[in-house]
Amino acid sequence: MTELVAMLVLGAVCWVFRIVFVLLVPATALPARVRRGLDHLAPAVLAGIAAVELTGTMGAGDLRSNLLALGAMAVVAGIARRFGNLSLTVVAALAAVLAIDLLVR
Amino acid sequence: MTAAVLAPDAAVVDSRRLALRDARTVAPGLLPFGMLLGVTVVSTGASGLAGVLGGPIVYGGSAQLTALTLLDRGLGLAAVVLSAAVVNARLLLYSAALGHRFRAQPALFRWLAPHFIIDQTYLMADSHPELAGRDFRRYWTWLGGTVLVVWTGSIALGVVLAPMLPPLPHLTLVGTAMFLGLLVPRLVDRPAVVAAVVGGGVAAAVSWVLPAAGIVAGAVAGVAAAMAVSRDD
Repeated sequence: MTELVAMLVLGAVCWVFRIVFVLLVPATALPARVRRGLDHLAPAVLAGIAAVELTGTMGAGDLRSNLLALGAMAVVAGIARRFGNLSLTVVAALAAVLAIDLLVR
Repeated sequence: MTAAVLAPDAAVVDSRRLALRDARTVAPGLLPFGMLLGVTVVSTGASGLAGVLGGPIVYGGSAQLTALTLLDRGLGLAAVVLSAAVVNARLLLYSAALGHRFRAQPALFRWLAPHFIIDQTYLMADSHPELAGRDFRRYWTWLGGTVLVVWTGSIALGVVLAPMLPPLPHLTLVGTAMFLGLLVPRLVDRPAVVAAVVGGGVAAAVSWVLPAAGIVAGAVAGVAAAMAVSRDD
């Protein structure tokens, strides 16, 4: 029951975050400088998410699996750059994860 | 009636098709993360129902994962919600970035549709700045709704399959790969590269000290650095 209550309260808080600049403060009220800055949000947040997820995975593993994971992500980034195909990138990552977790470890 | 009258509006069909194509693009990255969340729900002993219902209610995997993990560690409700909310604080940035596209929409859409704002939907919508008005409404509803179904289904799948799955500690890397795949094509100019390098570096550094604040700190730092570089250029 506590979990469900936590989900409901958290869902409400997240909804407020989502509507702040839609319903409460018009995004147009933000300074022009800030609005222009938001044009750069996508690369900043994508790199941030990838970095946090990678460091989280690194922290949980041993040196060998960490190096394998880092190598796999470098290859995946190379595939993304070379082919520009998101599905192929994700499939390559899935293959790498299965290889590391089922075959190598 | 003529065939022309019966034929669906081309723009409407296109925005729906575009949304479904984008949903198909992000689904392979969402699936493993949702399953991992479902497996975590089972491994922490949390209620499977709360885990699956939390999918559409919170609609934020990292925040939900944080909440469930902290509840398992015995933290109080307020501390759990506060920590998980910090994880999802980047939704404020997405709201600011997308706000103008919701502004001229009907009231019901402005109240309900922002619930679909997550990393993937923000990034996909950001790739289609040309969509506005009814086209954006149609696109956003199909994209958000489809991704929500995939997300909730993958959590449920994780809950069901948890007892049968071998340990896959690196499964989250599939989600990481999806974000890398979305990032690389955006590195087209100096401000974008600076935003990514600074954003990634700051996020990693902050997450060592304060895991919940890593992403939002990186996003703010990355945007600030890109703005500084743009001014210099």
